[in-house]
Amino acid sequence: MSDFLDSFRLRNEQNTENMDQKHLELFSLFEFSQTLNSSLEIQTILNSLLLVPMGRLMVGKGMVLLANDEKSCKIATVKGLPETLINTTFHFENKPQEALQINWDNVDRAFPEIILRYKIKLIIPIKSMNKITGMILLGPKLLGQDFTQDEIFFLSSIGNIAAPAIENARVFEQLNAVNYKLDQKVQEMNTLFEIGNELNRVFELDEILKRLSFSLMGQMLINQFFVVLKNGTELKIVYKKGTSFSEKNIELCIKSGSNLPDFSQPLLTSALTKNEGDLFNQLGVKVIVPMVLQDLVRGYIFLGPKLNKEEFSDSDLAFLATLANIAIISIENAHLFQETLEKKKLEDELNVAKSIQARLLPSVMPNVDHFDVHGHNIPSKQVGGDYFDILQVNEHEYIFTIADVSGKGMPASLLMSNLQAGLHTLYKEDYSLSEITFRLNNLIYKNTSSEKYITFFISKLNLKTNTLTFVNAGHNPPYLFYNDGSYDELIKGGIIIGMMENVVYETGEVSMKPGCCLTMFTDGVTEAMSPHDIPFDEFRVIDFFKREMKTPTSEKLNLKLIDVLYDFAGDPTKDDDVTILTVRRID
Amino acid sequence: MSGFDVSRNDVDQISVLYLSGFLDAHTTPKFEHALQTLIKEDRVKVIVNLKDLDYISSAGLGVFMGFIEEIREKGGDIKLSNLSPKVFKVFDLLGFPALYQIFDAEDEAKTKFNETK
Repeated sequence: MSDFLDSFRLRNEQNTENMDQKHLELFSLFEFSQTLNSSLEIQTILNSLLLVPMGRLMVGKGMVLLANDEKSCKIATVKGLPETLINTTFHFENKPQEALQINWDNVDRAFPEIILRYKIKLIIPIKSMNKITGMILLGPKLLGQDFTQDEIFFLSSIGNIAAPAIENARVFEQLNAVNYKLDQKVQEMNTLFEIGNELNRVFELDEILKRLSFSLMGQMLINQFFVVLKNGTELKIVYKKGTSFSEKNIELCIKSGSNLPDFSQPLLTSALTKNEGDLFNQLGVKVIVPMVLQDLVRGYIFLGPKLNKEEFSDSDLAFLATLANIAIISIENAHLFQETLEKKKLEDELNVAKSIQARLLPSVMPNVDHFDVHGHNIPSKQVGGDYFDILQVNEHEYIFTIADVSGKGMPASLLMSNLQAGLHTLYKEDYSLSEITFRLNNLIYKNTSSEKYITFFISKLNLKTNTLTFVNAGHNPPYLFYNDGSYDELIKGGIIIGMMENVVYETGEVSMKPGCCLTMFTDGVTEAMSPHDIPFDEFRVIDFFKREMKTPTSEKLNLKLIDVLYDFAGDPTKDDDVTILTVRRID
Repeated sequence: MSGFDVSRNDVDQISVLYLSGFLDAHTTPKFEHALQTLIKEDRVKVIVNLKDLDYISSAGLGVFMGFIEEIREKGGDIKLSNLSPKVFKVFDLLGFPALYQIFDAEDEAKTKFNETK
């Protein structure tokens, strides 16, 4: 009886113990599934996935593997084993589909080396939709017994519960990674947007490069780089940051860089052939970014390594390409802006010169007894070299002169003022016209090279005798029209002034009869071009005066001629000054 | 245009720069100048307190990069403190935590400097 009771008690106790154990297992599973569902952190999930069985079954070491693909997996977490194993990827084909307890006395199949090395005792697959997404690997129990069927069943349940949670966490992790990448892209875009905006208001090369450098350093995590720009075919360094590039190395980089075949996208030096790649590597250049404007490479940025030792990604290279192109546009704009500024300054100076020159010409026409004198000059857009003057020598003598300096712009205008000054000192002395011309010729000859010369006509009117003496030094012959419609060309004189020294000039003389009209002009009149490229020519000048010489005043006559010129040529002052000086005897 | 300001407080060997407002490509020269001044005075133990910084752009981070080499060569460092989550995110996205020590509070950064004296 007591035996029976004893045995009953024993059986009951065993049952109770079993019940307790089952209860505990269920509780563990419940707790475990709660942990899983409360977390999207893959490490938290994997940790409890290992710690729960290790604690429950007294196992000293274990790891969780996640399948990369059919054939390989990665160690995701370890306990009781070196942490350095984490992230190790190894080959594992024919993964067991069911829980597998390894009998170390008689290993009946080939396992990956890791499993052998760490004497893994039990492999529990983690399955999601019949696909193995991972495995729990446990070492032997501390007390050495095999895992029982119940325990294996319990562990398989854990694996099954964990599978969807791991899957979720992995998706969540991927989503986070994608989000992070997206944020990085947004940051890149912001940087490009910002630098684009900023460079729009900077017009100095140094300032542009400095702004560029901060965006580059901040965004790329670098602080060693330099910028070279093309100047013709030559590459010139314009900016350098950091101490790792010596002058000599920069020269080497430029030299080796120009030997590379053309490239319009950023180039990783690691992608070069071994020789070139090694060279740039030694010089500390990781990326060469071309600065492209309108399909032409205008410069390069040479970049050193990232400070966090990471390689440049494709996304980095795309960013660099855009940044470099934004920068080169600004650099080019700045260049054009500076040029415009300088041009503007030059134009301003030219305008000053123009107004100075205009003041060298007579602005008020003198009243000469019995004569009507009028001169008119329209300067071309550039500073030109036309000159005319009316000078009273004494009570009864006047000088009328007209000249045209070869060429245009500053040099012509300088020479013209030289001539004016020379004449103004000479005319009051008691020199004949041929002497004045002789001296002016020597003066201009000394002051210029022989390509510069002046066509010059000077005449002197004597009011007592009504005679006009003149010297024509290579100038368009003035015409003297008479009442009867005939005319004389005033040609006598000599060669243009400024060509050679000590030229002797002849003097001509004509009589200024009543009603006659003398007209002097520059080639701006005769060479005014019609839209069909036909010059106005001498014959039209002659026809005009024959027709119009009875116009009431010299001023009106001159202005009429200018009207005719405008009608003929559009703008006759487009290429040259236009100057006319007319003297008529009116009694 | 939002403003930006730098103020400075020297305690013993350490200089603390307080940045406030918007640090972007437009306002970097001010910050740059502050760091240049510190280097000129040979004060290279620098804490940059970002408590009142509302925004930082990559160009702003570029200033940190532009001076770190020189400052570390002179035996100093730039440490950061009091970053708002928004500002920290930019530092994190660009990988700065790997290169700069970032602290929650200015005092922690000071302690770190004093440890390595």
